[in-house]
Amino acid sequence: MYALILKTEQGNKKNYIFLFFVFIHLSKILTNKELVMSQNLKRFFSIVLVAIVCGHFTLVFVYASPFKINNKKLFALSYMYVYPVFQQNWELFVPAPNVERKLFVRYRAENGFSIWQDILSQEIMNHRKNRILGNETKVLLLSNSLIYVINSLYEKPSCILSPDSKDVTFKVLNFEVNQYLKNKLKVEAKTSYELLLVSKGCQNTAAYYIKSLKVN
Amino acid sequence: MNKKAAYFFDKKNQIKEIEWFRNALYVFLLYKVCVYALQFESLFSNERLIYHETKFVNFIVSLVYVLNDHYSVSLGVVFILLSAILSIIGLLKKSNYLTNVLLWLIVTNLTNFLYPTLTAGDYLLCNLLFFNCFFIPKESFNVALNDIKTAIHNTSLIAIKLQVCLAYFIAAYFKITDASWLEGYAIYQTFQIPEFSNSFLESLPYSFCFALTYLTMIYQMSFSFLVWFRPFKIYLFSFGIMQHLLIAFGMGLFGFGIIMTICYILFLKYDN
Repeated sequence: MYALILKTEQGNKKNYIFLFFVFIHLSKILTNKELVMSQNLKRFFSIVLVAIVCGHFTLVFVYASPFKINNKKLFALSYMYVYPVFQQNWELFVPAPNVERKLFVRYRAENGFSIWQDILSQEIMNHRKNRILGNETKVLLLSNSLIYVINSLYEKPSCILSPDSKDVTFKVLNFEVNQYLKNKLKVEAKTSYELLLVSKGCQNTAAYYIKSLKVN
Repeated sequence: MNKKAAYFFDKKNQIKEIEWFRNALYVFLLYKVCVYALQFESLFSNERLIYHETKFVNFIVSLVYVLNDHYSVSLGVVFILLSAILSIIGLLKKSNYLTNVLLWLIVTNLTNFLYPTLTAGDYLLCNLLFFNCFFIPKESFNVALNDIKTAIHNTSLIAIKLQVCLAYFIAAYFKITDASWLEGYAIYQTFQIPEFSNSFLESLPYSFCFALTYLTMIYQMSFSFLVWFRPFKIYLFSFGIMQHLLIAFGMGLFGFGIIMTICYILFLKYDN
């Protein structure tokens, strides 16, 4: 349909005439009160509906499936169809999370730096007080961004980090922290701040220190 | 073949359950509107925490990224208000194809705008709202058109049920191929992570969590097959509702827990 509209936009008069006749024909059918679908037409229509449902779920299954599908064309087609309208991901808690993450921040105040504040833990505690007030969004926001950054540093030992300005995962986390400082902690623009990202597992704990950041 | 075609055309199936399902869905959307209002500063204001980049993919994709691509605070307010108004229209049983499609587009836009805060429940909500567009159409004077509407209504009902079963099947398959679930420590380990726990869940004994891990896998794997048989439904729904309430109130994934529970309404059968 979209392709058809595009063609008509390009000035193809034949398509305008064709669309006009389709419209007249459809309006005749729809205004005919006596029109009844024959059994054969009903069967045909049922088959069409079943085919649409099968097609839809085949593409959704290919997209969200745990099975590796080697057909690249099919996967590309499923991606085009499913994302972003029918987007879904059912890899729920697989693998089970085994690392506790903390996001510490401190900023320059009048008498040197403030104390380190674990802003993710603060939001988790707020959310625990009342589950239905929607604090879940802030916990997920900070937690997801932190997970992406720590995962991108896969097995890197504790260190002082100087993140690449093009690193999207860090860009997103830094934006959130920056806004959080301005919004929640009322930190003024151009104030220096530092981050400490901690990943505490059963066997390993790693910490990444990022300094010389400025509130925008 | 006649019997199969009759399923689609004979009558609109499960009207009562669909009305309950719709009402639950609209009430849930009104709850989400309240959350957006409470969290407005963090999610929608000029000082919002959410990072955005605009990109044009194609016309259809841009329809669900209108809010993301052309964001302003006032546009955000319009989208939130529209989703509230359309949900209320639905609750008053005044909805039609147009209002339902609009509601689906608006909620999908809000969902895509809030991408870093999403859970699987938010994506499922968009899918449910899509199929909801075709439920209980208004009668038209044309018999053939009514037949088509009835067939599409019944197809959407089947499609939502298949969507829920597919979700459970895929989730179960991922779990049975993962070491932490197979060895039975997945839930205990998850409850030790503060994001997905509370003081009560943290203190649960390992043996209880071990049993819960296996019960969850068995439940998710069997749901897709057993939910179609009436005798199993009571057991499946009892366990499912308890589990999703635990996820909502215990683990703090409130939206996800509630939306999964709402889906069960369509598997009830009061027509027969």
